[in-house]
Amino acid sequence: MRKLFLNIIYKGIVPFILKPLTGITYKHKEVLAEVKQFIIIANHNSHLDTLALMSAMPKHKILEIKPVAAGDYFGSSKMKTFFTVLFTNALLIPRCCSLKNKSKDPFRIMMKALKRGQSLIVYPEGSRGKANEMQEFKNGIGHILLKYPHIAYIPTYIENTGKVLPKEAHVPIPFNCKVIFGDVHYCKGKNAKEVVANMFNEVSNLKAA
Amino acid sequence: MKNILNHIDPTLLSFILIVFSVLSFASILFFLWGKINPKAKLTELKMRAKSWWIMATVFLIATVFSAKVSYIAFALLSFVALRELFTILKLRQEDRGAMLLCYLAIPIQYFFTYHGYLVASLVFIPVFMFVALPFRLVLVGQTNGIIQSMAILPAVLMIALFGLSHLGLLLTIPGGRGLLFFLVFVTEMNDVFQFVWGKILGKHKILPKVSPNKTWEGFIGGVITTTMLGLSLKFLTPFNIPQVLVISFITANAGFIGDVIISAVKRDLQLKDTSTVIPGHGGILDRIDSLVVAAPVFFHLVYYFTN
Repeated sequence: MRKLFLNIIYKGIVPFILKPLTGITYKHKEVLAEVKQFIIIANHNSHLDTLALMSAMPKHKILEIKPVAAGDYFGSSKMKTFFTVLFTNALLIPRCCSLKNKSKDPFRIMMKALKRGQSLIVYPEGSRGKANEMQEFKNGIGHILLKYPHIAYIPTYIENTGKVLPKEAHVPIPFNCKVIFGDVHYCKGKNAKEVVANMFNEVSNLKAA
Repeated sequence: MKNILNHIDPTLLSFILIVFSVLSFASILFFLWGKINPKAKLTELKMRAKSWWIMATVFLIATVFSAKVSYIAFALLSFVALRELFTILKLRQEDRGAMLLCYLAIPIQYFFTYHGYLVASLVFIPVFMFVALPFRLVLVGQTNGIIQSMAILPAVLMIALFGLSHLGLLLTIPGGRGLLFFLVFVTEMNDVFQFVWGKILGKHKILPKVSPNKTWEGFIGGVITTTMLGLSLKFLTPFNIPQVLVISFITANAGFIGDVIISAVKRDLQLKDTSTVIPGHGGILDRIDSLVVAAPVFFHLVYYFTN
């Protein structure tokens, strides 16, 4: 039931709105079928990013794909939480330091999801930046991948969504957007910092290509 | 089926036949060419031909059945062209409000053309929008780089909306559909002829800094062939032979001008194509670049000859 609901949204309604607004095209989308479980590592400029990525996901897997979202923003009220999770299937994590409270530890929440076999969409920049300018990646996802080195990640570059609907804007303006998926990668590097630095380069390379 | 055929008059039917025979000829030619000489690099040409099939079919469906559908199709074409231009041009975040105005101008302009308000269609953009857009930019208050935005935004509207809306204006003249077919077919074939003559005979570059592949031989051969093609399509128009010759000759030249203007813009932005939506051709703008200049020129010639 929920799967059908998400598919109606992301294969029907969202593309119907997204296509005129962004003329969105996907490059190397086939990679999503290559591995069963993956983490999408993408740059983040707009709320449209999650919509664009979710509509690219394979139909049968859509329920297993969790965009990781900031709990302090999307979960600031019960209503907001309810609708975010209902429409985006999001995994809400607090962005701030509550490591002592186990139920609110962002690492635990994400690792639990990975253990369940779910795939994640992660924006390591942490928040929406300026259009087509990448901010530094946060280390968190590096720590997680070091613990789960067998889980694949797919670097992804999203172009121009930040022009259509930037952080401060309320009215979207149409531009052509592109989502470029990279190859399947596995965790490499000795510590979280190195892992994340590698990811950053992989996403940047997609931008240049 | 018979009913539909009765609705379409015989001249249009023969035009449709001509279009599809040209396409079939091209497809068969590339197929045989590939068989005879397997080493020939035909993938791009084949892709182009395939895209031509799709574009021709879409165009005919949009124009043959009902005028309303045609106007919606032209408006969509303007919308996509505008979106493409905004994507490649480097505009400021402060220009968003003015960009929105540009998008809103599309339905207004096509409303005027649909109802045949000739004067309104002709002045709405060059008079009204040319004041509204800079004023909207002034209201934002950011003057850094405002000159550039003030110049780019109206120019973008002229290309994506004003030029294309003349396709709609043509439909408001009696016998307009034949004229529309004439214009689009002649302009697009002119591109093809210039390309073919350039490939066969091309030696002397015509605008080496703008479009290194274009040659004098391609240009002259293209214009002559296009003029002949126009003459053979005389049955689509109400004109006599000298008029058709003049119109075809001028339309071919206008098409060339539109083509090189967009080429120069792309060169400045260091782009090869304006996007990748049409396989083998590039962006929408790469395909309609000649049309946006040829359409107003053609419309005013027609207007002059028929009045």
